[in-house]
Amino acid sequence: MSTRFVCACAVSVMVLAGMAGEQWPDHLTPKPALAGSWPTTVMGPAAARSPAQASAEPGCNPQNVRASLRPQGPLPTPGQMPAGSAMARIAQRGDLVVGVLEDTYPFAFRDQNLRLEGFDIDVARDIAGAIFGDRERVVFRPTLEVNRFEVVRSGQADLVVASATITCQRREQVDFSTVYFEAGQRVLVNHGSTVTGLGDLGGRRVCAARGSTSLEKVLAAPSKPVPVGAATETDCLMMLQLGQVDAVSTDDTILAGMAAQDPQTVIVGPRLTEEPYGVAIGKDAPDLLRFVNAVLERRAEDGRWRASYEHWLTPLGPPPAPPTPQYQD
Amino acid sequence: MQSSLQTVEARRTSPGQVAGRVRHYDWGTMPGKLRMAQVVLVLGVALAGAVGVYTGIARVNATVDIAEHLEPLNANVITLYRSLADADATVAAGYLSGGVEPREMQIRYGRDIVDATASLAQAGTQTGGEFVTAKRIADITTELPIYTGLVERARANNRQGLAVGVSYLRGASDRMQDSILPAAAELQRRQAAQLDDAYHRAGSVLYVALAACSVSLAGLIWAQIFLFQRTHRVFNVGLVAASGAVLAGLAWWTVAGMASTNSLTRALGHSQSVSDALAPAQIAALQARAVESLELVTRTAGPHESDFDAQMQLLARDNGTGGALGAARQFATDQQGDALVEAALADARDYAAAHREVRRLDDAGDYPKAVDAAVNTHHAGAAAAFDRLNLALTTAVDHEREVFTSDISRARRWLIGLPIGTGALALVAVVGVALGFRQRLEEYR
Repeated sequence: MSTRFVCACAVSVMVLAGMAGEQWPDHLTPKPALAGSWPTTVMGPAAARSPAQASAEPGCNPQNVRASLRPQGPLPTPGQMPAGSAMARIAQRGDLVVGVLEDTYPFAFRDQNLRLEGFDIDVARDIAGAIFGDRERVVFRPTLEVNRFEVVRSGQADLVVASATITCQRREQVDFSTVYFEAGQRVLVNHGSTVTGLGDLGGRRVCAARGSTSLEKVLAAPSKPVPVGAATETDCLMMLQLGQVDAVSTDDTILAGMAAQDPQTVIVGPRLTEEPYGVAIGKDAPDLLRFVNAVLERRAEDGRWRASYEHWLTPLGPPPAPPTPQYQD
Repeated sequence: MQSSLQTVEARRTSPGQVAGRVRHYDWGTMPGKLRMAQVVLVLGVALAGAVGVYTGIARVNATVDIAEHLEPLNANVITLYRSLADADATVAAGYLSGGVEPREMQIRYGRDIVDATASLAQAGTQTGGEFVTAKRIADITTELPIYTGLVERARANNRQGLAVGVSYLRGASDRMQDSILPAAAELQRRQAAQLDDAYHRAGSVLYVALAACSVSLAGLIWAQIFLFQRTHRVFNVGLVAASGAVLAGLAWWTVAGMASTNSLTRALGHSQSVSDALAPAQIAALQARAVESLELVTRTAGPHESDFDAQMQLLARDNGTGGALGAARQFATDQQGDALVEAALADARDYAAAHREVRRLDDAGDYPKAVDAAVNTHHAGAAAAFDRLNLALTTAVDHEREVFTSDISRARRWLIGLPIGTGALALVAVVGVALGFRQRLEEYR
């Protein structure tokens, strides 16, 4: 893995960096109105729940949530997309527009030359390569976690590759490709901590991004840790470094990025959840969905998936086999 | 015990004895009338003189207080406020420039923190015992080291290329925006209000002195007409001298008072132009610039673009007639000041356009070009446009400060000798009145 990894500009902070005031003695903290700007949001059940939880795609269940549409025949030759297809329209336009998060090292981040890099970015560039024969024909549109599906629903982007976990709720809004990465929620603590998982964190402060499924999981843990919501995952690392939280719990992919930044931290415990990542595509482009699935299948077969894993994700251990695609048809 | 009681008794009786003497004096006769006129006029002229001396001293003191204490203090608090905003904008732009922070930005940030700390220490020793002011100074004093600590952690992480640096930078900036700058703003508002107050103190006492002089003069003229009618002598040397002295006092007060008030009013205008218009304009510009850099650093254009717009609206709105620069336009009294404000307005428009170009580039996915436009001052872009705007505002502030200094020294020059002169003229008038009447009274012996 490259050690010269994260550019200055790689991390997004959604609203405010949440930093607790209690690192400093009470009498030093400013007047209440000022202290209010340091939101150490200790989450209640309502606040932790993500907003779009009301409905799920009909017939969707944990067994078939990974199933997508089967590719139709072999991939067309780059530069020669079938007439009338979504890919032909993209080729006509000249660029593939991809919504990405720019703050999820090592999945998507800016390197020191301000170039977007990462495991997600490799997927997006491979899709562009399959359409144009040129992996650089991509316009990356920075999105936030909260509106990453909106950009494909509204047509601002052709697809979104943004470490997005495929869920039945989300499938109500957008279509997902087959799984290109299997992540899972784990726990990050300071080196030397005796904590081995959420079970040891009862009554202690555990940080995750506000509105994330990770935070809900912390809230629901039987050991009853105190969930602390930060604006972004990286803010959780800062709060861990400043001693404001005892642990960070989110996808192991993101924790691997944190552990790489701070050698005084370690990832502990088993995977608490399954987080299958998929490419999100608008519901009006099934041909593009099948095309993307074909690209994912091919990059799993020709070793590009493995090469990308080895390049970015070695802190997670040796590369496993690529996820096996599941189809609904 | 006994003797002290007696003393008290004796003292109590003494006003009664005086009253008895006054009652026994025959006021109806001509000498009686003269004696009464003498007493009233001597007291009146002395009172007018005392009022003149007192108001003169008050006016000189207030003017000196403005020039030597309050205005430097006000300037000091503005320096504090501006240095803090400048530090925040500079450190964000420096961070955006990459792991190797440009030398000039490091120097500028360092100077900002030195200026802010020095101003803060000075404000702490000079603002007196006012509770809220002292509290705000304490707030900034405790917050500033926390801010600089977070900035240094952000820089150290940035230097190593670690993404967590952004969290520290954002945390530092939030602390600056949400607690330090508001405290500095309140400090500045309070200081400006105190200064306003002093101007009113320096300007409002003029009419009391003029009225006292006029009433004395009227009394003297009446006395001379009275004596002329009774004695048929045209001139009474004492009273003429007294009238001359009072007239001279009146003239002096009118000319010097009006002129110093005029200079003070102009000085106030320049002072307000800085504290109510140009300094807020510069701070709004700096905060907009900080938002611009942070948008690019933190990759979250959406929610922050409204913050940028809000700061630019504070800077100028309604085609330059509103906002801080609109106010500066109203304050500008000379051609040069006017021209400088117009130049700043043009630069503000340029900067807003350059910022839109940065956003356009970033939204179109050309992040490296957007960053280049935002940090590289060598070509036409937001960085260069911002530097021009900042320089224009600094120049305008310097100009207003300069004319302020000349106006306040003019006001002080007009007041030179006024209290002592008033006292001397009053003495001449009192002696003149006393002698003038004595001459007449002696004729009845």
